[in-house]
This record gives sequence, C-alpha cells and structure tokens, in this order.
Amino acid sequence: MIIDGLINGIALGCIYALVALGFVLIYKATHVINFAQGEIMMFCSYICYAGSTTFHFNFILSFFFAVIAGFLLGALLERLFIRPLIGYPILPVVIATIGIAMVLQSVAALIWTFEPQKLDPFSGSPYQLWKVSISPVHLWTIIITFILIFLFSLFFRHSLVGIKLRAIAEDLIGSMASGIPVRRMYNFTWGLAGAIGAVAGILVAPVIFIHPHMGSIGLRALPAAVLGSFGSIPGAVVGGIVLGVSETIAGLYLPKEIKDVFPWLLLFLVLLIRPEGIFYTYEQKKV
Amino acid sequence: MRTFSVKIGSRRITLSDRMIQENDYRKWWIIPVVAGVYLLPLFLNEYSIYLMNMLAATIIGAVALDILCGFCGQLSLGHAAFIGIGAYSYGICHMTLAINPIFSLFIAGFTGAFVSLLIGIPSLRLKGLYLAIATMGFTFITDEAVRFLRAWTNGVEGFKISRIIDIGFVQLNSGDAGFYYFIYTLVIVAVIFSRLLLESKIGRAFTSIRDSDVAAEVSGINILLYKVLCFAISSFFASLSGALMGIIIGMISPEDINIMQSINYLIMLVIGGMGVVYGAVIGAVLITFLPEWISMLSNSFLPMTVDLSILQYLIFGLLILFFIVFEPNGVYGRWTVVKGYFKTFPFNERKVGRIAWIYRWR
Amino acid sequence: MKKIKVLAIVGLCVACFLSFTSNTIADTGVNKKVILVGGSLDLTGPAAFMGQGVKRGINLYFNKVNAEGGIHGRKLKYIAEDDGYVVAKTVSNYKKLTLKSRVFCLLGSTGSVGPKALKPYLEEDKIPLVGPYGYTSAMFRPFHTYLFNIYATCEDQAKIFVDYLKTELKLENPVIGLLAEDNEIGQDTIRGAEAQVKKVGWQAPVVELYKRSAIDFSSQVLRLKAKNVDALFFPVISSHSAQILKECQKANFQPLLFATATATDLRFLKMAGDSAYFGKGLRSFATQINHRDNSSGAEEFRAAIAKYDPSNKDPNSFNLFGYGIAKILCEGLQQAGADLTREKLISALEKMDGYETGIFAPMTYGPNNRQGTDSVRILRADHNKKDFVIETGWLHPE
Repeated sequence: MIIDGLINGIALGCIYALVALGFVLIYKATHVINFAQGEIMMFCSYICYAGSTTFHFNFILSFFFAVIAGFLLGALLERLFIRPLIGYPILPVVIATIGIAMVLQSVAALIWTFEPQKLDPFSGSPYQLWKVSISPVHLWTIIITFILIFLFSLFFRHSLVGIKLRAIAEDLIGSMASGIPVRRMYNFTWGLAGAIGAVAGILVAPVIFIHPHMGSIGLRALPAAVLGSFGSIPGAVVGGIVLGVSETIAGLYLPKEIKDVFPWLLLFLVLLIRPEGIFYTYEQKKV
Repeated sequence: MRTFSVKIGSRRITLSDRMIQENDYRKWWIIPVVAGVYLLPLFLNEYSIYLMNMLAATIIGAVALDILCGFCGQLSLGHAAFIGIGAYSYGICHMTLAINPIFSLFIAGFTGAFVSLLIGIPSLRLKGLYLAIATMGFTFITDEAVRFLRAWTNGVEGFKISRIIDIGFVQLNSGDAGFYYFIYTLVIVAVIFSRLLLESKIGRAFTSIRDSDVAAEVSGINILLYKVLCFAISSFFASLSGALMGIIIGMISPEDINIMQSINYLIMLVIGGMGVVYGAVIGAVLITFLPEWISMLSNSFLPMTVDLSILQYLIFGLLILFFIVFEPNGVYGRWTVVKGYFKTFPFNERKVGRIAWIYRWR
Repeated sequence: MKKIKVLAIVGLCVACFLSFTSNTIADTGVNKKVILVGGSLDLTGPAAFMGQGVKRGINLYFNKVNAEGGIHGRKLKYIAEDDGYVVAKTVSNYKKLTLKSRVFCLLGSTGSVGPKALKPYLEEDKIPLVGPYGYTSAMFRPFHTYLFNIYATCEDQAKIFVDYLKTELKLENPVIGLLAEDNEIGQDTIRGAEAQVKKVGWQAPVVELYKRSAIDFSSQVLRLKAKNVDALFFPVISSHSAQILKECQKANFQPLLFATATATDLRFLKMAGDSAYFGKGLRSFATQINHRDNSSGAEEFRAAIAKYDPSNKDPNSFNLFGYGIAKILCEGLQQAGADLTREKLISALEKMDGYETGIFAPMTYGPNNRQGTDSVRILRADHNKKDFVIETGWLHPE
C-alpha cells in the first residue's frame, strides 16, 4: 500500500510541481504571485479539448496547439494588464491577476458551459509493474515533468535568453543598464509560464476533468512553491513532490481529523524553521 | 512657521502649522455624512436596508483587514478564518451559553484577538507572501477545527444564530431599520477608531513597520509588540464583523470559511485604496454594490431570457481588472490626485501623473 | 474644493439610491396574468453546472406550460438569482426575490446549507420552497411547513443500499464502505448506513471522507481496499464519482460499486470510460428516471426538449430534475385553484397523494409530511449498451 501511495503521491506532486513552476517563473522575474495561473491552465486545457473535438486534430497536434496558445495567452495578458502596473506595489498586481482569473473563468464558461468535459489522451488500463500498478496518466505526468525540468535547467544554464532572465531576477537595474530588454523578457516569462500552465492543464485534465473551476488546483499548488522558497525552480519540484507525497501518505496513515490539514501543518513547520522555504539563498535587503 | 513631515497612510506629507489647522477645520464634512447615514433608512425599502446592514458588516471587515494589510503591511489571506471565528464564538456565547448579545459581541471580538496571537507570534518570522500563504493555511486549519469541534459548533450541519438581538431596552431584528442604527453606530465607531489609530503613536509605528521593518527596528520600535498588537486589533474587528454577519444571515457553516472570501476583502482594499480607512470603506461599498448595479443595468438593457449570470460575472471581473490597470492606487489614490489638481488649480501641471505609493511586501 | 467633495458625496448617494429603486409588482407575486417564481441557484460557483442545468429544466417546463395556456390563464415566470454557492448570497438573493422581485414562491435551490439557512425566513414570510436540491434529511426533519422535499435523502439511499445488499444480492455480513464528501450529505449517508447496518446486525461500515477541493482520491480508495470492502457507496458529484471509479480500476479494487443519481448521465459514463464497467460493475441509486429510456415520462421530457429548447443537444439529469420539480409545483398551483394564495398552494400540495410525475417516484405530501418520497430505483451500467439499464423498480427503505 505504501508503494502505491508513494507513486500516487509522486504523480500528484509532479502536477503540483508543474503548476508551481508557473508561479515560480513569474515570481522570479516580476515578484508577483500570479493567481491566474490555475485559470490559464484551465483555459489551455479547454483549447486542447477544442483542438481535438472541434478541429479534429490528433492529440499531439492539439497538445502543441494548446502549448502555443498558452504561450500567446500569457504574453498577451502580461502586455495588456501587467505591464501598465510595473513599478507598483505587488498587491494591486496580485489583485489584477485575480481579475484575470475571473475573466478567464467566465469566458470559458460562456464558450464551453460549466459541464465537466473529458480529455483523456492517455486512456487505457493501468500498467502492472511487479506488484505496483500505475496508470498511464501518472506515468506520463512523471515522465513529462522530469523532461520539462531537465529542459528548463538546460535553458536557464546555457541559452542566452535563460541567462538574461537569470540576470533580471538577480539584479534588475544592472541588467537594464547592460542593455537587456527587460520588458520583452517579462513578456517572455509570462508566455513561458502560460506554456507550462498548458502542459500542466493537459496533464491534470484526465484526472480532474476540464471544467471552469479546475483552476482552483492553482491555490492548492501554492504551498509547493512556498515550500521550495518561491523563485527556485528545483525548489518548486521538490516542494511539489513533498506536498504530493505528504498528502497521499497522510491520507493513508493519519486519522481523518488531521489528514486534510497535514500538508499545511508541514508547511507551518518548514516556515517556522526556515521562514523563506527550503531552498532559500541569502538575499540582500535594502533598507 | 514651523514645518515637519508626517506620514498619513502611505503618503509622506510636509505639513506646516497652517496646514494642520486647515486640516482640522476641514473635518466639517463628517457631520453631513454621519447625518446622511442615519437618515438613509427613511428612504430605503426593506431589501435595501438588508443590503445596507450586510454592507456595514463588510465595512468593518474591510477596515479590519486594512489595519493589518494597509497600515502594518502584513499581507493576510486568513481573514475569512477570523470572520468565521467571530461568528462561531458569538453563536456559542449567545445561543449556547445564553450570554447577553452585547457582551457576546465583545467576547467574539476578543476570542478572535486571542486566536490571532496564535498566528501572530509565529508570523513574526514570516514576511510578505510567506505570511500570506501561512495565513491561508490557517484558514484551512480553522475550517477543519470547526468540523472537529462538532459538540460546540454543530460541525458541517451549520450553526444557527438568532437574528434577533436584545440590547437592553429594545429588541432588534437584523433585517430592520433598528438594527441599521445599531450596526452603523458600530461602523462609525470602528472607522473613527481606526482613523485615530492611524494618527496615533501606535499607528505611526505600524506604518513604519510596513515601510521598512529594519528601519523601524533601528529607530527603536518594538516590532514583536507592534506586530502582535496589529494582529490583535485587526482580528478583533474582523471577528466583530463576522459576528454581525452571522446575526444578519442567521447561520454560519464551515463552508463559509474559505479563501475566496479573504481574497474578496483584499479586492475591496485595492479597489478602495490601501492604507487609508476611507479607502477600505469605499472599496467595501463598491464591491458590495457593483454586482447589484451590473445586474440592474443588464436587466434593463437585455431581455430576461438571456442567461446573464455568467455575463455579469465576466463584467465584474473586467471592471476590477480595468479599474486596477487604470488606477492601481484605488479610488482614494485617484481622489488625492484630483484633490491636488484642484488645490493648486491655476498653477497645476497640465498632466496629472499617477502617484506611486512605493512600498512592497518584501 | 469643498464643492467637489460635496458633489462626489452627492454622486455616490445618487448611485446608491439608483440601486434601491424597485419596480413594484403585486405583493404576493401573483396577478391576473403572471405568477412569479424565484430561486437562488448556483449559476457561477463550483457546482454551477448543476444550477445551470436545473434552471434550464425549470424554464423548459414553464415554457411548455405557458405555451399550453398557463395555469388558470396565468403565465409562469422564473427568476433565478446566482448565489455562487455562498450562503450569505443565498440569503440576500432570498431577500431580493421576496422583497424586490416579489415572487410568489421559490422553486429549486443548490446545496443543502442554503435552504437550511432560509428556513427561519420562510417561516417568517410564509413562503413555500419546492424542490430544494439537497438530499439530506435536514430538509424535513424537524418538520418544516414551507420546505417541500422531492428526493429520497442520502439517509434513505444508504438504508436502501444495505437492504439491497441483503435481500437482492444475498450478501452475509459484508464489509460496507462509504466514500463521501465531508459535508451534510456525507454525514446523512453515514447516519443512514450505520442505523440500517445495526438493524440487520452487520459490522459497522468503513467510512472515508474527503473535502470538496480534493483532487486525489487514491489514498481513500487504497484504505478502503486495505479494509477489504465488499460494497462501496459514494454519494458524490458526477466528476468525483468518475474519479473514484478510475482510482478503483487503478488500484485493482473490485467491490460492488454504488453511485448516486448525479452519476446517471451519459456524460458521466463518458468521463469514467472503461472504469464504469470494471470489476463487478457499477450501479446507481437513481432518484429519477433515466431520460433516455422509453418510459412515458422520458418521452414527454424528450418531446418538450425538442419543441421548446431545441438548442439543448445533450439534456442531462439536472435538466430533468428542474423539469420534474417544476411539474410538481405546477400541479400544486393547478390544484390550488384560480384564486391563488400561498396558503392554498400549501394545502394543495399537502393533498398530493402518490402524484405520478413520470420522472420521480410517486410524490406524497401530507399535513405532517414534507418528505415527498423515500424511494429510489437502481440502474446498472451496461457495457454493451454503453448506458444505464433499469435493474429494479422503486425501492423503499425498510
């Protein structure tokens, strides 16, 4: 039972990690929590659904269709609503993202109604590996997450754009002075987060189905980002997996009174010991 | 002429003696506003009085959050928890233990303040978004605690709260004009209290912690004391608002303790203007009445057969979005710009830029 | 300076006043031409597909009645307000409907806490509410004059579940599992199952609860599997039911599976995929008919859809529910006579004895009975037909 629980937990954690990755990317660049991340996810999985049902693409094509749409959606939202707010305190920006979430939710409801839709590209009976069974969705979730993380670490370490993004996160003024197009990079970051959201949405869709309220998974993934100290990409992955595993293991072995709040108690504990999360590196603060 | 610099809200203003006098003199407008508030029920129908009572409880809640987030800069997503705690403790005091309702209201407030110490003290180590997430966790834990304490809270079945309160000489029904006078007296007390708080020594300590806790600590402010105090004051009012809301609705259930409610209060603050008491009031009014206005307008322009609920939700979201993009400092921020424009009328700059209230939760 | 402040305040006051203007109709929501019926439904919240579906079904039946001449010459009009699954909004919608729109009575609701919060208000204003969408016994226990329940509650369903295992499937002391959301419906289910299990002398049921926001049911299912549950009942919303079925398939957990009425749609079967036919198969406790079969009620419903709401290509069980409760209300209004008052409606509904809607089990109300019905029928998911087939008639708890 514990191995089943662990595998379910890791798969759940990978979904959390992908959602948290979207939060982390945007937070790293702009110091804003994007509360619309869950809704971008929802919208992109609807786009994938529309691709496969309305336009009759095959799954691979509609997957890439949705990812590109996610990129464009993220970039567009940044250009329209977030760029005018650069330089303002974070709270109005956060509330603006909540406004975006409401708009995306109602647009999705207007187009596709509130009824849950099915998008299950990985259907099929579960694989039996030794004594453990793992469903194709979970297997693919784990594989795709790790591929993505690998690609991301390559991207941030070796590509010019990735290095520029890191420079911005490190020192905004300095990178501006050295000629990095900061606004375009912000735009790009939002696009990237949108694309990640699309992948996460399509991976979570077979599990929780597509409906305009599936974006609430975003709120559940927030602790993952916090556990891995917001702004750290490996942190988001570790945080997500810790959260997922603790949720399923607590569900298996703890009495029902505390199993639902167990991830939160864990979060409290981590924050009390390390107030800035597990992966925090020292950051200078100006007074 | 003596000049010195003070901070009101988040503005740094250099005042002279003359300006302070003028400031005092200008407070005349409070009288017609208060008179207007008390005269309003004469012109209102029953539904509007109910809405106004609901608005009053919301205003107290928004002001409470403003004390925590706007004054002291402690971003909290656990506001709904305190509202729920207030409603439950009022319910338990008044319904189960049969304590006088006025006392019960105070006990509810103090329960909230006491519980806030539990999260206020650990929160001293947390800042900004981390605190927001921790308080969000507190919301879930409160929800679970309410379910767990079934013997007292009646669990998931919901706790019924009497909508009639007996304030000694008269019985008030929460839908009536009588309750309106009672609750708006509380609102005025809360608003004036927080206005005075902001300009007192404590309030200045709060604002300096918000602007820079390191600088505040260096200049001799006991951060531990003031942060905990801020949590306690804010939670007192939040719980009071929750108790009043419980009386108005007549029921509280654990499903009411959710993050969307906390986020709703944050939206009010941002729309109205953070760090200013009037901003919170304006935000509460707008967020309570905007859906009403939207549904009224859409009902008069569009036929009833069209399904409007989603459209109304969309318009509400768009309004919030465009409003914030247009004026991130909220209604009160825009108001200060307009005020500055007219104050210096012939000599003003042609283009009135946005004033950036530059502080961040970091 | 001062002028502007005054102007701003006046402007705000005018805006406030504008929102308070109300157009007065007759005080009780009835005049010669129209009967206003209201309802606070969840049209945008987390369970919005239910609210939207119920609203559409109600409007469908009202359109049908209006096209056929109305009730004693009066046309019916349904006003739905959105509460987004928030109790505070339910109450303020109630106030809006009764004080501003001046409705005659209420029809439909979402959730079970909403109608519960409305109880004292209904009592004060003497306004009946027909067809609350909550399957809990709190709707009519303690007795409440103004709430007319339609469905068999989850308590009854759990009792029927135990009875069915004992009498039809001839199980001897099986391990019964319940998997429910941690809310009133879940508690009701547990109460019913525990009472009935004690009666027949079986062991106590294994209970697993989850929160509405849950996205993963694997740990609950694995725990149920570890306890060797023989029969599992999950009275939850359709998407959660589908998730539970998939988890059972994944964990290779093969109990007798029992879902509830929300899980009788084709869309649900599509969501669940093969997992609906996995193991010993899925049965659903249906509180209403399957609108795709060939009973008279289903044919009537399909004809109404084709005529009055042709844009609805994929009618669901919520449409049918709305249609059914509207039918019951209209029967009550018809019997109440041409001189309509709320008291007459209530006494007309009280006289209803075994009224056949063709959609629900026969409805019976009485001076001390607001339950409507306590019976459900069992449908079974059929692999060949890819649809639910009727397994039993209307069953009552013993």
